[in-house]
Formats: sequence, C-alpha cells, structure tokens
Amino acid sequence: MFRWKPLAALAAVTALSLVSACSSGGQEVGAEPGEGQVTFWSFLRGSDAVAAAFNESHPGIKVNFVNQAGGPDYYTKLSNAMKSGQVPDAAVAEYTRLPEIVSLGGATDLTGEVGPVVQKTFPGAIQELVTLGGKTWGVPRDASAMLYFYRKDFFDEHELSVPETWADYKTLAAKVKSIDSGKRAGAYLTGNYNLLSALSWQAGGKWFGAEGDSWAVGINDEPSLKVAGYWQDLLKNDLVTSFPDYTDQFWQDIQNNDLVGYFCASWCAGNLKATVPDQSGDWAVAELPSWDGESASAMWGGSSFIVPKGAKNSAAALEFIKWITTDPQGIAAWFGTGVSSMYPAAPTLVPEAKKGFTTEYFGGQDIYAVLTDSYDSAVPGWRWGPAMATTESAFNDRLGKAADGSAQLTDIFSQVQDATVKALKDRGLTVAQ
Amino acid sequence: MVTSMTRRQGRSAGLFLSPFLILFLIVTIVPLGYAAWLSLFTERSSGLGLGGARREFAGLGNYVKAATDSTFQDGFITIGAYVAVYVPVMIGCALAVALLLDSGLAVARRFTQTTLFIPHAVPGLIAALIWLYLYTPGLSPVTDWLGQGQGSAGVASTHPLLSVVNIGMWQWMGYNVVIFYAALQAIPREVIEAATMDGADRMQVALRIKAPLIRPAVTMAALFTIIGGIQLFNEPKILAQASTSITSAWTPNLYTQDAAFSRNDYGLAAAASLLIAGIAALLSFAVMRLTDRRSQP
Repeated sequence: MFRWKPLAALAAVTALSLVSACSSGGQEVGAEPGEGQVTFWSFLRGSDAVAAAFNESHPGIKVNFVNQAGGPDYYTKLSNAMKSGQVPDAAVAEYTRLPEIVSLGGATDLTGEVGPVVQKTFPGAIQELVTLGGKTWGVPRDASAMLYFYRKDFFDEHELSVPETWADYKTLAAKVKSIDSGKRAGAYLTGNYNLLSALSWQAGGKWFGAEGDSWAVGINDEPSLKVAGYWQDLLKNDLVTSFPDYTDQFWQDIQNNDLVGYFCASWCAGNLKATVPDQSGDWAVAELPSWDGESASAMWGGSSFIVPKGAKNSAAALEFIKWITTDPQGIAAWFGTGVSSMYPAAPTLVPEAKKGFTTEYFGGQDIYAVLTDSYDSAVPGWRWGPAMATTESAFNDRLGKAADGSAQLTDIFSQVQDATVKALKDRGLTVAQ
Repeated sequence: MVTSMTRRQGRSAGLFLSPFLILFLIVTIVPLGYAAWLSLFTERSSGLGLGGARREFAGLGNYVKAATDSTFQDGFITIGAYVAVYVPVMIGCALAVALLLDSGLAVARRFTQTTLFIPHAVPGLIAALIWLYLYTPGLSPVTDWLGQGQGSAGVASTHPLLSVVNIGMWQWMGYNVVIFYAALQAIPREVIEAATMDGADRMQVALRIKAPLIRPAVTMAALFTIIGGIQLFNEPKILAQASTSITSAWTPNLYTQDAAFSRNDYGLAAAASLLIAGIAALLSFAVMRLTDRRSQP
C-alpha cells in the first residue's frame, strides 16, 4: 500500500522551511563568555592560518573557518543567511558594505563590547568606516591606502620623475605615450568603480554622510566631479588604457611591459608579487599625486569583522575578532602565507606586518613607509552608503561608456547619484536634500 | 459492479500519478506560491536604517514597480532583438545543415553530426566562460587574428547581441540539426522518389518537399528557441565581466537576479519573475495557437 504520510510530512516540512526562511532570525542568548564553537566566514587570504593560530592559543574556543568566495556573491550569501537565521558567529565585511549590512539589520551593535577598544586602537578615518549613527558595528582589520605603482626600470631609463600633482601626472602620461605609443602610465577601469571612488575621496568628495536622521548623498559633489572631468580628459586624449578590472587583460599588459604605472591600494603589492614574479625588482611604489601637492590619500577596500545579528556565540566570536585585529600575535598569523601586503588598520601593528612582507620584489624599497605616509594622509570624513550594491552596479554599468566616448564621466556621476538616491528612498530611508 | 471498477481504476491511476503530483507540488507549485506570496511584500526601513528593515504588505505595488521600471522594460527589448536575430539564423542554419546531411551529398555524415552535437554537451556556463576568453582582446587567439586591435573593448562590448547569439548558435545548432535530421529521415522515401520522377531537382526536393514535410519539427524547435530566449541569463551574466555594453539588468532574468541578490529586494524580484513567467506562458500559448491554425488544412 502506498504511504502518504511520510511524503506529506516531507512536503509540509519543505513548505515550512520555505516559509520560515523569510522570518528574520531573532537574537539568541550568547553562551558563557569566551567559550564554545565559533563559525567564521571569510574570503581573506590567510584566514585559515589565523583561525588555526587562534585555536592553538585559546583552548576554550574552537573557531570553525568556512572559506568564502569574495566579491558580490559573498554579500548575497551573507544576506540570505541573515534572512534564514543561519548566520555565522563572525564574518568579514568590507568597509564598503558594512553600512548596507547594518541598514539591512544584519549586524550586532558592538558599541558596548568593543567601542572603547576601537576608539583607542584605530585612527579617526578608520573608525568612521565602522561607525554609523554613533554606534560601532565592526572591528577594522586592514586599511588599504592608495598608491601609485610604477616601473622603476622604465622611469629610470627615460629619466621620468614620479608625479606629485595630478597636473604632473597628465604630463607624465603624455610623455610615456610619446616615448612608446604602445605604453601607458595608467589604467581606467570600466568595470570597477573603486578607483574613481578612492580618487573622489582623495579629492575631498563626500559620497555619503549622516545628517541627523537622514543620509546625505554627494556622489556628484564638486570634488568628485573634478575627478570625473580629469579622468574624462585622460580618456579623451588616450593617455590611459582601459580594462574591465585589474584582471586578465590588465595582467597581460603588465606582462607585456605595456603598462608602466597604475593606481591601486596596498593589497596590489601582494598581487603584483604573486602574479608577475618575473618582474621582481622592476617595480616601486609612490604616494598618490594630489591636487595641490600636499600629501592626500584615500582607501580602496579594506575589511572589518562583524558579528552578524542572530549569531549563536557572540561572546567567543568577539574574543576571536579582537585577537585577529588588535593582537600582534593575531596579526602575525595573517602573514603565514608570505604574499599578503596587508596594512593593519591599527598603527601599532604595522611593525609586525612589515616583518611579514619581504620587499626584494620592490627593489628593497620600504613600501610600508610609503604606505604609512599614504595611510596617515587619508582624507577624513569619508563614509560608505547603505545601498552600495546599487551604487556599485549603477557605476559599473555605465563606466564603459566613458571609455568608448559615448557618455561623459561627469554625467555618469550624476546618474549614479540619482539612482542611489532613488534606491535609498525606495527602501524608506530618509535622504537629506 | 461498474462503479467499483471505476473507483478501483481511479485509485490505481491516482497511485501511479501520485509521485508526479507530489513532486510537481513540491518543486513547482510551492515555490510558485511562495514567490507569489513574497511578491506582495516589501521591506521598509526608516531614517538612517539602523533599526533594520521591517516587512510591509505592498499589495500589487511590486508588480507596478517592476512593470513601470524602464530598466526591466529595456530587458524585454533586448530579448526581442535577440530573438529576432537568433531564431531565424539558428533555424535557418540548422535546417540547411540537416538538409545537406540528408541530401546524400554529405560525406562522413555521422561524424559531422556528432561533431556538431558535441558543443551541446558543454554546460552553458562553461561555454560562456570559454567564449569570454575567446572574445577578450590580448588574450584571445581569435580576435587578434581577426584584427581586433589590442586594448579595444572586445567583441562582447562592441557587438553584445551578436556575441551572445554566437554562443547560442555554437551550443544549440547541433541539437536542432539532430532533431531536423531525424524528422527528415522519417519522410517516406516514396514521396521523394515520386518528386524526382516528376523532374524535381535536388534543390526543389529539399525546399519544396522535405522542408514543408518537417514543418512541425521546425515549428517546435523555433518555439523552444523563443522560450529559451526569454530565459537568457548565463551568457550575458558571464560576458558582463568583460563587456561594457552588457549591464547588470540587460535581460529580464538578470534584472530579477540583480533585484534579489544585489539590491536585496526580494519582493520586487519575485514580482518580476512572475511577470516574466506570465509573458513566457502567454507567448507560448500564442505561438501554439498560431501554428495550430496554420497547420490545419
């Protein structure tokens, strides 16, 4: 005889699990402080080594590291986990995405537990990136200050000097092109807005800010439009080359010695070392050119750690997070792989990081000293927005049009401003006019 | 006596149908119902949004929002253009190849058929990745050879529609050739012999006799190709990595994916997917009716 019951039960369970998937997971009571199992999600290189080192030194806590793929898919996974209530106890969150996670109700307010530590350990520019509405939502790990990477051998050979201002840079770019029409001193990215956001940040633009209880959005503010106009001009005069991102096509140009300089953050040093090992000794780094010749910088990327709302063991998770972000031993563990050029957000830990990164690749140049200068000159007051996924795709969908000449970069900035404001209002957030 | 027979028959029919019905319920009806339910809600925050979002009943608001969103509408224009190019090219080429294979002119028929079919065994996602490489200037042996200059945007940027059509052709032509060839093989040889006796040359036999006789197969293939077109997702999703023309909401399916997973608007995504499903159903129904009427004598 056919049995209905088990199947009916299965159907009911499936239906129920689908239904319960949309009710938000409630906050659960934490275990005893500093004990038990911690599930840890991260896509950062060296996360496994860090988790292992922590487990060794903290017998009461067992961190279970679950490797994640980076990029937008990670945040999709995290927000789905939030919806289903099956969140990890500790998770990485890049500064860019932290406000969005917070505004989706996905992060635990850590002000009480780590607020004082964060205040004491990190400089203001970094604190602002993990603070929203006066509350601390994450603990910073690294700060990715921007640099100019350039081929020292090529610069030396043609007696080129490193640009100090953006005017210098334009002259340099033209010179490089005149030396060899196949070479360029920089790249424009058609599929990654981070380059332009960092340069807008450096110029003093403020894309997001909180004014009382409303968001202020300034993607097309005056400093940002200055940056947009400048890059439009570089593109128009064919002084920079274009790539979707710093991936395949870009590396091909690096390999062919066609690209002799580019703007990127600290983590690019590790990438360069790992991807084109045969160009060891050819590269050097410099601070970003600035508008007025005074040191000014910004960041591209950088990560913090959060305790997702609904985490089962937040006390132990916090202990783990504090260790890997502020303890010298924890920082040392990040460098187990030897290729990381991570720059710790906590200045006191920089000597530790420096020990972990060998600089023969950069001809022995003390790149951490340059990084420190860049980090210290990061323009304060920058914040990310609560709908960065929308802002990001609005940018990335359009940036290519500036490269092929079918749109002006300044118009694109204004279109992204409109799209972002609309997305915020659609979600019920208040936007200051 | 008679009633008990039918009741028993009914019971055994139910027994045989139940696995299907249960699976149908779990994998189709429940998710559909869940999507319909989700589409009625929206998540709202307030102020800076620090308190998280709360779920609110939106009624048909999400449907209105999707239907009036120009990005979503543009997706259908993309699909329209894609189908307008893809279907005639695909069906025409597949039919031509099948007729050639059937004509007796072709040598190594079986080998050709298999070779044409092999790309179909490659999953769509992998195919898109392979083509992404082949389209990328500087990396691709093909584009360099074709004279697409280095540093240029690449085929996927300059001709997004054609580069997607090309992937579809590569992957699906062999499949359709096999279907058409099988249908051609089923044509009674006497019909062809009779036509030849009447003085029809090979070309006339192919176009006037064989092609009309396999019209049902051709129509079915065209119909499936059109419905497949509405679901266009894999190829543009992958090519978008390197294309400046393929945006995050280039097709309606990409729009729903973007709405759900990057904008976190599950209500809008559910409403948009139900709209797509509705349009696909209407279209299938219309094409079905149209071809039915036409195939009536």
